[in-house]
Amino acid sequence: MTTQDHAIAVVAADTQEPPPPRGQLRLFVDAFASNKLAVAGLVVFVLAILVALTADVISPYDPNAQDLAVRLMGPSAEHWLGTDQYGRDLLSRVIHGTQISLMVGIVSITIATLCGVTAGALSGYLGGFVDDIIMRCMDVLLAFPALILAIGILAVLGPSILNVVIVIAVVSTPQIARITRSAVLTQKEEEYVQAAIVIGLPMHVRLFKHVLLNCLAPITVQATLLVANAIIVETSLSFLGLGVRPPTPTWGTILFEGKDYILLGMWWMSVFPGIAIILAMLGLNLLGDGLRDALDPRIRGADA
Amino acid sequence: MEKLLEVAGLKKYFPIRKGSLFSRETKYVRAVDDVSFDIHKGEVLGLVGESGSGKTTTGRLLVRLLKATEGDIVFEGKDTQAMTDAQFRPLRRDMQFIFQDPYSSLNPRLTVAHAIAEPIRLHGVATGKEVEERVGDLMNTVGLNPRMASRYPHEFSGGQRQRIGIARALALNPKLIIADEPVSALDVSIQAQVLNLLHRLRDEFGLSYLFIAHDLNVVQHLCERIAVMYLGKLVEVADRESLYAEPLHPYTQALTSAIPVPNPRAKRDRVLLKGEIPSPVNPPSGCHFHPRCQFATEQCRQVVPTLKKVNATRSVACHLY
Repeated sequence: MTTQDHAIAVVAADTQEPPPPRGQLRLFVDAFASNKLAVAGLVVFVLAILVALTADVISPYDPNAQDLAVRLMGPSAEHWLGTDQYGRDLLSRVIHGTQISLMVGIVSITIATLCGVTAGALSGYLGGFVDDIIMRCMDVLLAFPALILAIGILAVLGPSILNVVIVIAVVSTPQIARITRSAVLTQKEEEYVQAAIVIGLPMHVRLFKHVLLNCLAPITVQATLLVANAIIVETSLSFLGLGVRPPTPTWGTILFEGKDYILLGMWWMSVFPGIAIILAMLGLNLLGDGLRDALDPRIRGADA
Repeated sequence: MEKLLEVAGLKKYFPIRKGSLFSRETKYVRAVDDVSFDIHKGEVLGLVGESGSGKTTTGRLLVRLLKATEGDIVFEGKDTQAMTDAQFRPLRRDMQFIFQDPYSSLNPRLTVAHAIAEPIRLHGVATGKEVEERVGDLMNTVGLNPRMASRYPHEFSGGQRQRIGIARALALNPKLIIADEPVSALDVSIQAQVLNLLHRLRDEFGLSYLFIAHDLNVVQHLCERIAVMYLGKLVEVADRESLYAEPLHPYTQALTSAIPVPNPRAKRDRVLLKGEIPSPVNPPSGCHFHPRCQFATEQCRQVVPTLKKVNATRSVACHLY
């Protein structure tokens, strides 16, 4: 039979295929590793996390220690990134800022993803009445600009890091829910889901194993981009005095403390936290794109 | 011969909602409208009709991918319509489905081995090491190399994918397989391979098929009996020989005359159908086929014909007989 001959020829060309469970992970890692931009994004992201975790060890100074003798100094051998208006070491402040900014971004989007995926999956898969109720609630949240909604909620809850996390989770949930719902809607009409019904697979297994597995790519990309967005929202809230209170350093507070001095030529107070934000955004976006490509077996196949 | 499946008065109406959330359902698409047929053990029944005739809906109703509006589906003497989903689950072992589109019927993120093993594990047909063996056997049975088990669906051609779908349907040792246009998405050369495979499997495993197709040519080689469907109703049911030799219903005549003859000089009496299949929301009065029928009479415009037995092996729904 010709098909069998063909099949054997195909197999012979590539007989060293690893067994399925490990194979799946291997394929994913290989595909991700072959994408240089994605690896660069991952490196930036991992570095940022390392900096955040070891902030107390690697900071040359206490981030809140004031030394008025050296206030508003440019970059030098003692203070690599210069000092601010109270003579605090900018490098130490940016390093400690990484801790808070990343923590707020990651924790809030993790919460948002859990809530959003659950809501979106139920909404898309069950449809009808459940869909109407869940999505109308999400529409209400989406109707307000994220920042305005965040300001409103924080005005009620009061400013604190925990409340910032809650607020960002609340304003990000509808975005994840929408992405998940639309992905679920397209996937659930596919014949492989019907095939799962025909073999008698229970609904929750169908939803998680078959439908959500195929929605991973858009959700991952959206979540990664939302972490970047969460950092920006945190920055804005801190500037408005509704987020993290001074003197606790975050990239946002440092950046905005520096804004009064930028026209006086003291660029370092704004530029360095700005660079930190840009690097984090770039890293997260590259990482998101890389994950999307590596998670998709079709694109994965085309790359190899 | 023993009856495996009996379908009686099967109806599926899809409601069309118009307007907003609060408006009432007013109209129905009568996708399947009072269809009755039997499938005997070991028999292959072909169900043919053009797009929109309700043949796929009929197939889906049988395996409960859709809930019937009315009618009975009796499988091995058990009335499935009275069952809850949980009661119906054990029956799924005996009734499997082959899908039309081999590109969307396999989960792109699961390996072939996983796709075939899923029903085996779920129904506890085999456990542990045996599962892998069984997957290998099934792949051999459908003509795929078991060494490709750890590959993903996108690495296969359409014909190979359809074989994977067939292996998955076979995994539970079913008694009845409903094949929904299993070859219509494939190249002609591959069609023959898949049809031969289905034919071989039937002999090997004593399967019965409901073979859905839009093309009488494909049905010819596999099916012993053929049911012709038009706009939600069966218009003719006959054994293969008499249907091809002497089609009775004018619609069947049109379909058989559309089968290509591999002889350019052959004189052919083509019956050409005019127009499109009418909308099942507003089917024509009387015989649904009368607007396209060259023999239509006043009676056809007013009285709905019923499926009448013409002789022992065939019946037709037409006022001419």
